[in-house]
Amino acid sequence: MKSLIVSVFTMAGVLFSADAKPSEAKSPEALKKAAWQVDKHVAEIFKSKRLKVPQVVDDGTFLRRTFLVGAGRIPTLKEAQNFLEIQDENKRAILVSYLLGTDGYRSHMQNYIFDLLRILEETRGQGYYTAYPYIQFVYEAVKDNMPWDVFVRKLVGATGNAWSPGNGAVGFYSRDKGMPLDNLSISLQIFTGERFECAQCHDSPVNEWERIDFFEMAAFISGQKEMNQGIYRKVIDYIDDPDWRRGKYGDMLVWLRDNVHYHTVGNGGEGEIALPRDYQYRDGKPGELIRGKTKFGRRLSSGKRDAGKSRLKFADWMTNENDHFDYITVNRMWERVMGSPLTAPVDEYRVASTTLSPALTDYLKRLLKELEYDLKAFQNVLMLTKTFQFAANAKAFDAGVPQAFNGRQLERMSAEQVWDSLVTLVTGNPDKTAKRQFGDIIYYRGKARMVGQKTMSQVGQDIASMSDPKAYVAYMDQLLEGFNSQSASSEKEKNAGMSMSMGMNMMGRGGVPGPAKGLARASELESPAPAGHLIREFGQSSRKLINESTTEANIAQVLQIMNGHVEDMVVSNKGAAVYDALKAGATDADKVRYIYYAILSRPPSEKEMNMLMRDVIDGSRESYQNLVSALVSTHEFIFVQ
Amino acid sequence: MDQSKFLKADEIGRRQFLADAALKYLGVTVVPMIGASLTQSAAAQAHSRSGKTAEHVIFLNMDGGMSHIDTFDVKRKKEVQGPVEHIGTSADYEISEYLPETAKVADKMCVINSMTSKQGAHRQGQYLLHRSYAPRGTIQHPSMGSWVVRMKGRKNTTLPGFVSVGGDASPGFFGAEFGGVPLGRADEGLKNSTMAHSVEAGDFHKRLAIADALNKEFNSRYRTPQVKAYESLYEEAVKLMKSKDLKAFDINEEPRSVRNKYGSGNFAQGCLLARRLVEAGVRFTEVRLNGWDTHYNNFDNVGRKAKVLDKGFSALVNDLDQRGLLEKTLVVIGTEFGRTPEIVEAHSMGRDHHPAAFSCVLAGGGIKGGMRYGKSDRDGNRVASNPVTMQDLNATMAYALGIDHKQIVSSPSGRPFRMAGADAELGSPVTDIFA
Repeated sequence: MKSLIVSVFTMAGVLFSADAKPSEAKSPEALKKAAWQVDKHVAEIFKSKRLKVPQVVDDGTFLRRTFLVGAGRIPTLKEAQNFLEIQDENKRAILVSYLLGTDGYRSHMQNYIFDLLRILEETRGQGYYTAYPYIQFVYEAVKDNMPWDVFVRKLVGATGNAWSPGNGAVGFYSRDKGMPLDNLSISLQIFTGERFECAQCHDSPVNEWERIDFFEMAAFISGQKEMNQGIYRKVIDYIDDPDWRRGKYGDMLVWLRDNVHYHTVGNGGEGEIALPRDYQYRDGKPGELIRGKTKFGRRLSSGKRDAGKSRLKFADWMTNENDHFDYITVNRMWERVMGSPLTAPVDEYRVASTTLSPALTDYLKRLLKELEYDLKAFQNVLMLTKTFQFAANAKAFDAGVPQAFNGRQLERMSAEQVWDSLVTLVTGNPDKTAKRQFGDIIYYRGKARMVGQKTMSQVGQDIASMSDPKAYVAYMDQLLEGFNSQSASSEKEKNAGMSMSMGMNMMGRGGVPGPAKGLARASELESPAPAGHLIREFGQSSRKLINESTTEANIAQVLQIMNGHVEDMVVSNKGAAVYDALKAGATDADKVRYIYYAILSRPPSEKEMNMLMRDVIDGSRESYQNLVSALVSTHEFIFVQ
Repeated sequence: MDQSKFLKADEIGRRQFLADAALKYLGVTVVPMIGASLTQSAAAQAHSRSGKTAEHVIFLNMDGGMSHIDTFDVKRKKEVQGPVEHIGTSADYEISEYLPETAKVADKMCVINSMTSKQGAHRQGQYLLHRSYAPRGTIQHPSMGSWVVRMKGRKNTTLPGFVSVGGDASPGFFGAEFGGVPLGRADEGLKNSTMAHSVEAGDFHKRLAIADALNKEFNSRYRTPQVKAYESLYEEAVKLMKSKDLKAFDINEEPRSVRNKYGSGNFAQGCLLARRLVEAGVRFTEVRLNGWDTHYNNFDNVGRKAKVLDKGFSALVNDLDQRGLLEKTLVVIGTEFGRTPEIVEAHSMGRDHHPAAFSCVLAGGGIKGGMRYGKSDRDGNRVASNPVTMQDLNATMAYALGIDHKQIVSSPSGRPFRMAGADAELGSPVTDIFA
């Protein structure tokens, strides 16, 4: 029974020794102190507003909330049992450290960032996971807890070939290929909380930004050409066949376009930009070249002299000493942990003086910097606060009313949390289920090619330096030959797959790069999950728009619970981990208690126990199945208190 | 404003929750008002269409921003039109070569070439198209399907009134009972609508009863709209499971020959499903076709999308017509905005967002066929005559259905909302296009 607490201590140790030199600010004592500071500021709010201080939640509620917030799933029977049945005054803090050290944290955070960045499995629909160097970059950044400012700087400043090792951030731009201006207005919204989507086409009627402002910002990121751009056209001209798509090189050319050329950004920004043809105001002429100028935060300009590096300059401006960036980051993390942002909407910048507690806002921004934009440590602080432990406020709030301090609002689990919790009920430990696979193996027409001889990054490199169409064609001949001679050798493929999966410590798809299938965590499945999947029915974002995910109720969800996946996968599945409760308990009452642990993370109340023992449980398997089904159907199961 | 009117509108919502938990799953119609429509006062009826009105809407959502110039608003200027040819139709106007089958049903449809909007971003544009309002942080507006169910009531009380194949299904502040049933795949129909094989009927009901008993305490502690929504959906789901019309959701019952007419893929099969749902009495079905965001490689991509739209839409119109359903079914092709007349060479001949002028199409439901309404200028850049806003389009939909588009329904917090949008942008129906 001590196992969790013991392993927890070691986990907590691991968490903080991950850095070679753990910074002073991130020591467990410092985090605790910071949490106390946050609580002090919140207490001030309660005092000045004469609000009643909410109660602190009981262990069961804390356990469930903390698992869902920290690791995106409910606890397993074992985890619940250990936590609930051990008396240790530090157990709440220990639980927080434990969860943030698990792969569940990575998975849950990854879902969040996938939503934010609208990450799609394929940027070009070719039946191949063309976005995965980008996905790998994000995956590893979250796993390694890359500081948020560094992460965003890498995205916004990305240049080169996405396939070059470690350079997947380029996918940030190929995600939005052909729409660099939309990409910019989205970036400004999600990272700095300023809305430019109106000013992209005209002076904004809803905020201060004029069209010229937007283009002055756009000058920094302009000129997103592919690397070695002219060569592709030249090759097609050189082949000189109007029906080239059907010719010898047709498939290969399309493949190279979609898998190699497409995933490159060959220019680091031009530092200036031409106003669009329909530019309609007096402060500029259509086609006029204008210089870059930042419109908030640090003043920065760019011009021709910055060609090749203006985007990096912009990325640095965005993430370095930028109050907008700091506030939005803080506001997001507060929402993630506390359930609602300091100010809504979460991605709208506010100066500290217009927030409910300027002192708290300023403190949080300072803390973020002290923690060097380490989001895990920052969330750790918030989860150690008393504020995090306040009981949920039972009243329904109107959206938009500041509510972040008076007990969290009751919210339905996110679609991913619902799924991951169900996977927990089936598999026991969902962190041990199949993971995404990575690697830069060449896939052509659905088969691995030239395994051990050539990789995607090499092809990318080769193509980047090619200037002669004749040489390009010769190179295609070479590839075609290599691809064809290898295609029969399935044994080698398999081996390559094995060694890759060993390297990544992964299971499931035998090394084929791409998402996992079946009973794996939401973060490991296709992004987004396919239409009709339970995750989509519960409101997962289609990852086309920002802020698109929803927790709205609909009838398909209820049918899933009553008759669908939940029935197949959990209730009628005799091997589901939730039924370990039957083995763990000796008496019927124990069995019921353990089923409660596994599903609702708490013991049943006396009233519930009496009712169940009287009317429901007769010792038969069916009666337990009925209980499991009913508990999963309760509102308590799908809501986060 | 007539106070009693919106009091009544809220009362329906409230009375549903009064249902006794013990009775609710027994199939007794506990609340007779469920599914009944808002009764309109004489004054309200004055705003709406009299005589025979449409009863259903099939809303085809071209998600991503359908290029008007490459579909329904073709242009002479080469630098604007690019490589797309024009073709004649069964009416007296031309459309794009990408839509040969649609051209043959032009005599049954009205193209509006003067759609205009100020929302140039996808989310805002789609939201406006579906809900007549711009997104706000403080309220979720109901989408049109929910409005139609709320204002007209259900026709078949055992089936949902609103179904959405891949599109918007949000009831906003109306609450879950007016929400759409989201279907991921049309060919899978309404999944999980029958009891799982692993469950005995007796156990099924026992489980519902246990869950009900266990929910009591939670529900009394948290009386939030979201909790209530789930509460009512369980009732709704059980009622649905008992419906004898469930097979309407199963397109596999259609002969191969009919399925083939619509084409393959989710959109095509969704169009077919929509027709079956009309027959079964579903008020509003949305079918989404995504991928119109053709910043990059516009012509290849629009060509591909248009092909899917062309086959599905023309088959749907013909099928409804042959079955005598077209007169009572309004078919709408809508999109959040059009695309720029300018072709961006650097993006493999792409087109960017263009809300200032774009097109949509209406057919059936009392619409005059063979006509065009409104015009864009020579480049398809601005509206030249008879501008139609999203709110106007939605008001027109209301008008076709005999709904008063100006009727106010209050949110739970007492804020007034209308199907045709807020005061400043209040839409009015385009009545000229009705026969």
